[in-house]
This record gives sequence, structure tokens and C-alpha cells, in this order.
Amino acid sequence: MSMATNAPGVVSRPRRRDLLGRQGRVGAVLLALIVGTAAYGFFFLPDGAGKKRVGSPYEEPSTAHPLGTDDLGRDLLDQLVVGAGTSLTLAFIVAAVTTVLAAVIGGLAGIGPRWLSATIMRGIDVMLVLPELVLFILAATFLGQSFGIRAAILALILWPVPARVLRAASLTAWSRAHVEAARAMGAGQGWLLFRHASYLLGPLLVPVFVRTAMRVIIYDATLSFLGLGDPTAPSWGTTLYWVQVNGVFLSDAWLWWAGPPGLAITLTVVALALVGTSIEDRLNPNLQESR
Amino acid sequence: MTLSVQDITVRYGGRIAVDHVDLEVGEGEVVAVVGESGCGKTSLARALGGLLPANAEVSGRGVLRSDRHPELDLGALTDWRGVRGRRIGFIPQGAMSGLSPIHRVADQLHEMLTLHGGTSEPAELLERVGLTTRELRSFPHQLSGGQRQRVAIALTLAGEPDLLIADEPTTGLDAVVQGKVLALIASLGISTLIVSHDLTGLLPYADRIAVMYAGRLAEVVPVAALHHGRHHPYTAGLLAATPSTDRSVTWASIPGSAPPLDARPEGCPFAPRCPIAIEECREQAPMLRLVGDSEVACHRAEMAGDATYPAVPRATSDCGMPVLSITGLRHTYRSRSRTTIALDGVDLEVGRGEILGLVGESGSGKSTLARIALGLIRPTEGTVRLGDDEVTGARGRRLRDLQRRIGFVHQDPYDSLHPAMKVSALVAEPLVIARVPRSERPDRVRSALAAAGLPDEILNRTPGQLSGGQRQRVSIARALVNDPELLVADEASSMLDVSTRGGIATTLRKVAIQRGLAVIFVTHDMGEAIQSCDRIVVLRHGRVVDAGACSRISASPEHEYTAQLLAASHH
Repeated sequence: MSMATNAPGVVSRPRRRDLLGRQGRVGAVLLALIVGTAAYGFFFLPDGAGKKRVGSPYEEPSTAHPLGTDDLGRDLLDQLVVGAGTSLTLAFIVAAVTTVLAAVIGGLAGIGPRWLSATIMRGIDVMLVLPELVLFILAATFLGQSFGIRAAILALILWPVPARVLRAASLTAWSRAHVEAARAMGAGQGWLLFRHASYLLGPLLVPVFVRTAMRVIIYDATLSFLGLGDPTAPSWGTTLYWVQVNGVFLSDAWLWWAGPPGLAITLTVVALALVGTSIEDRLNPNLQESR
Repeated sequence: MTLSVQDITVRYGGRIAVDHVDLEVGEGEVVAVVGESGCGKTSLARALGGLLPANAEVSGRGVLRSDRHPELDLGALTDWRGVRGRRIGFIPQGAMSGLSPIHRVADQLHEMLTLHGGTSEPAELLERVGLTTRELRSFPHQLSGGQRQRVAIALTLAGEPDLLIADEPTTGLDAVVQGKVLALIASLGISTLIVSHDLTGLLPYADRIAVMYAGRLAEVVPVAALHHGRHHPYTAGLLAATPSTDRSVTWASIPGSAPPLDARPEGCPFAPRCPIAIEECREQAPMLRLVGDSEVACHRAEMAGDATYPAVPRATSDCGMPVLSITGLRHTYRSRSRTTIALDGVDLEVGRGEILGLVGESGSGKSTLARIALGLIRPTEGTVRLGDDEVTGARGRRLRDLQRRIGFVHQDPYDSLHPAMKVSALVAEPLVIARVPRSERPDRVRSALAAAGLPDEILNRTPGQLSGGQRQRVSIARALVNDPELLVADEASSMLDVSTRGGIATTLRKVAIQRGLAVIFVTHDMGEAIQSCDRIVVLRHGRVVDAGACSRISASPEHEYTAQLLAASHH
């Protein structure tokens, strides 16, 4: 039997995939800049930056205060930098929790017994009918606005959509031939999941994480803008709330007061969207075919 | 001559798929291009239809002649509109699943007629392909596979092409229907080029056969001359490797596998697998030359009668105690709107050292039966016993313990191996699951690999670096490593090339004898079952219609359906 005629490496290995592409790289660079800004604020700015009065109220931009000050004489640039930290920390924590929740619940719905699957799916359907933002605003109003509570509410509201996606993916993974072969060997569910299905499901978690982070930033900014956030902690949404309260749009001050936080929110969401969609395009086999 | 192509070469980024091929199709002639996967036959067909992907480069000359149209130089063609459909009719692979699901057959035919300026009526077209006007109002999902394939052929006829190119027109069809579709294509009276992997299936319908190997023509031979005279050793090998339903004809396999695109050997590409190759074959590529009635590209064509290939062995002893016994098995699949009866009262037994062939067409319930035996599906009714233990009632840990005593070879060698695991890890997996001590594992993996006919060198490779036949052997090694009592091979060779199928059957027979293993061999190919099994059970619509020793089944089938299957497995 001349089975060994194919020298090793003759059949070329699949090329290492370029996970991001040009569009994704632009997003990644943008995101790195924003994370860097947040890290600068966290490590180098003094405690209470953006909270304390450092100048006279309604100052125009100057070398001391590049973005001017607000109605209480607080530095607006400090608020912007510190706000980046608040927004991103909340976004990443909620995204991580949501991804884990979605993976566990979606996975259970995919491979669990039929009654469990049916219960979870109907539960998800009910959750999907509820308007997320209104639910978030109501819950935050009645349960409190602290960081932990907001994170918990967001995580509980945002898991159903990705859970549905991951359930479908785990059903597909479960029907693959090598998973069936392992099942016929007498492998337990845990072995099937970690040895055989993980490489199929793992990559799908990345877009789930990124997309959730994106929505958290928008939702939290909305909450703060409505004045239902934590008014003492500087954040992009809170700054915009004070813009609204002080009627800044009636003067030229909106340029340095409302503009930067608005732009920051937009840029962060765009960056996350660029990274998320380009990773998803490359990892989701259904999208790959149509490319 | 309707079509004559010279020197056609197709490259994919420098890798040669079709290597200087000359081919002619005469007026009203049916030419079959035959070869195994990766031999370049589909690239050739697509090149002739102008359907190659953008990364392919084609060179060569081609001329299409007919008495109704001016001569057409295919090589100079840049715009294929008005050519495809009107001059060349193309039936792509899987054409029957390419019908629009939301349009009636009549509308789809109308569309083609308008598009290509055809003058016939939809009803006439259907009549030509053996359908009636009743099918005009049907949607594709209301038709059977064979009927859909006929509609696909009717669509190609709409533009009244001079040349028909059919790429694997029988894939996905049951054996009985395959013959009918090929007979239809041959009876149309149009010059036709059929591309297929099934040499013997085409013999009754083709006028000439062009055998391709590794991108080159190995032989071009009139069908009438195929069974006598001298031939390329590969042609002889392909004929010997197709299992006959006659037990007195031996079944053989060609060792090794076809070279991949980027590792074509110097000289004759078939030399590494050829039993009569000499030094000259390895150094200099042979050109096509006339030998008797056929053109053969072989230095040793005069000696080709001496080419013998390893034969698939038969049973040597009687089978022992029953290992698996199934009684009164029924299974129904229930969905919201309907219930399907997959198995309806099946009884069977497999003994030690015995290979039981489970034969049936798609929908016969054979795969369901295999999965019930593996404990993957719990049957609606009936019992399955492995030795003294009942599989059907077992759950959880007890079921998993039972499953460890059964080996499973999946149909699809490309999906049944985890793509990121090395062969050593793949074969050792059942041992890890069964908690066999780590120190015992390497030896058992090695002995299983040897039993499956694989060298130790491949231990460190991943499935992506193996050929289809090697992958299926890894699958067999994995099934054997934990010393099972029963092996379930679900269509284990159906996705492999003809030349390697016999090798898999040989391996299964060896392990059945050496390890006293009971084997359930599920297949849709009657010839393969008759050649490689001891006993055959024929399933139809979930019922056993015929059961008995292979020699009895092949000589005097009891049931009409068995006779049909035998007849459909031509040759």
C-alpha cells in the first residue's frame, strides 16, 4: 500500500485567515485610541477630575481648559476623558456577562432536553417582544442608578438575541459528523461541547461581545442624557444631560460642550461596529458563502 | 464533427487541472469523460461551457460546427451569451436542485424558450424527456428526483443546442433512476459530452469513453472495444474496481490514491500506482498513441493484460455466536404535520466475524437502523441486544458504556474527523473517553492504525493533509482502537473514489476475520454488498424484503425489488 506517497505538507494548510480586513483594522485602531484615552484618564488624571470646580463657570476654550468649563466650572475635557472610562468599562463588563449568559442559555436550548429548549425559546420570544430601551429606563428609574445595577439590568435585557443565534449555531454544530461520531463512541455532553463543538461556537462569541458593547454604550448614554443616570459620575451621557438642562444649544458653547461627547459616542459605536461586522463576515460560514 | 478541441489546458493560479487535452465529439455521438475526483473532468466541461471561475486560465483551441449555424471558434469567444443555451446546452452538477422552487415547470420552460428564442412548446419539451403534460402545472417539490432531473434536461433543450454537456447528471439519484436518466440523454440524438465518475454505469449509453487521470487523457476508446483488446492499466483498474453483482467476478482495488493538483509526479502520472510500471514510465510522460481500436497514453500498453490489482478477499470461515440481535424494530419520525414510518418491524442478527450488508435506496430506513444499533436514536418499539445487554432500554452512563463496545465509521470522511486534531489524537479519542490508562494508549493506537492499513508516519498529520481514502481508514482505526464487538459502517465507501473502495472493503474483511468482529455494512450499492458481505438484508420502506447469503441473493433474488436493484447495479 503506497499510502505514504503524499509527503507531509503537500496538501497545503488553509492560509491563516485575516480576521479583520481593512475595514476591521480601521475600527480596531479607532477603538485602541479610545481605550488608550480611557486608560490615560484612569491612571494619570487626579481623583475627582471632571467632578471638581477648577475654573469659573461657562469658560470658553483656553490653554488651561481646552474644551472650556461647564456651568459649575468643571473642566469639560476631563469629563470627556473620565467619561470614556465609565462608558467603556460598563460596555465591556456588560458585554462579557451577556456573552456568557447567551452562550450558556443558548447552548442549553440547543442541546438540552426538548422541554427545556421549548421553555427557554418561548421565554426568549417574550423578552424579544418587550422594548429594550423602555424596559431599561423603567428598571433604572425604580431600581437605582448605581453602576452595578445599571450593568445588571443591561445584561439581563440584552442576552435574548445572541442566545437565539448561539442556539442555532449549537444545533448546527451538533449535527456535524464528527460530533455524531464522538457521540457514538459514548462521549458525554461535556466532552462533545469542549472537544468538538467549541471550535465551531467559540468564534461566534466575538461578534456577540462586540455588538453587545455597542448597544450598551448607546443605551447608557441615552439613560444619562434623560437625567436618569448617576449625576455625580462624569460620563458622555451626563455631559449631554447638562447641555440640555442649561440650554447650551442657544449659544456657541454647544461646539465645545455638546460636540465632543456626541462625537465620542458616535466614534466608539462606529469603531465597534466596524470590528464586529468584519469579524462576523469572516467567521460566520453562512455569510462566507455569499461573499 | 460537432466539437473538436485541441490542446486545452486549464490552470488555477499555476496549478494545472487540465493538461493539454484533445477531444472530439462527432455528430450525434455520446462521449463520456470518465475519471475520479480531481482528475480535471469537471474543469474540462466548465471550460467548454465558459463557466470557469475567475481565477482559472484557459488556453487551447475549440471549434463548434453544425449545419444550422456558422462555425464557432470557442477559443476566441469573450461573450458567451447566445452560445450557452443556443449552441451549447449545459446540464450542471445537481441541476435538479437548481430548479426554481417558486415557479411552475411550465413557467420555467417558458422562460428558457423566451431567453433562447426556442420555437417548441413547453409540452413538447416535456414529452421529449419522457414526462407528460400533467407535470407542466407542478412545482419542483411535487416531483421526484428523477422527474426533476428530466425537467432540468428539458430546460437545456429549449434553445435547441448543437452540443449537450452534462456534468455528473446522475448524482443524488437512486441506482434504478440513474440508468433511466442516462438512457434518456443518450436517446435525444444530440451530440453529447457526459462527465462522470461512473465508468461502468455509462457503458450501455455512451459511444466513446475518454478516461482522464491527473488532468490528462489516459485513454480514448470506443465502448464496443472496451472489453477486449489492450488498454491503459488505469482503465483496466477502473473496470476491475467496480464491484460486480456476479460473485464469480473478483473485485479489486487500485492501491494508493490519485495525486493532488500540486504534487503531480514526473513522467506518467499513474506510474506510482501502476502494477506494471517500469523506469521509463517514471521518467517520461507517455503520449496518446493508437493501440488496436483505442488511443492509449501508456508506454506499456502492450503489456497491460498483465496488470493485476489486489482482489478483495472473501469470508474464510463460518460466522460465530450472534453479537447483535434486533427484534421487532419499529421507528417513526414525528413532525408537527405528519408521521413518517422509517422502520416497520425489522428483525436481524449479526454474528462474530460476519459482515452483514444492509442494502436499500434512500429513504429505506437503513441509516435509521444503523443509528438505532449505535444507540444514537431510541426506537419507538422493539429491542436491540448487544451480547447479553439490551441497548434499547439503556440510558446515561450505562448506554455510554455499551456504545464503547461498538465502533462507528461515518459516511462522510471529510466531516467525521475533527479538522484540528492530529491523527494520533483522533484515533486515541475513544480510549480517552473510555478512560483507558494513558500508558496503554500509544500501543493500541499503533495496532489499530496497522489494522486499518495505515503507516505510523501519519500519526502527526491533521485530516486536511490526508486523502479521502486515508481519512476513512483513520475513521476505521478510531472505530477499532477500543476493541469493539460490533462495527457499524454507514456507507463507509460511498463518498470515496471507485479505485479506493475495494481497499476499504478489504480492510473491513481483514478486521472481521482477525478480530472476530461483527460488521454491519450499510450501502446503496448492491454490487458492493454482494462482493464484500457474507449475508445481505434488503430494506425497502422500512421493511426487510429479502435476506440471505450473498451468493443466493445474487443468483436467485426472492423479491422483485431485489431483482430490480441487481439489474440497476449494471454490469
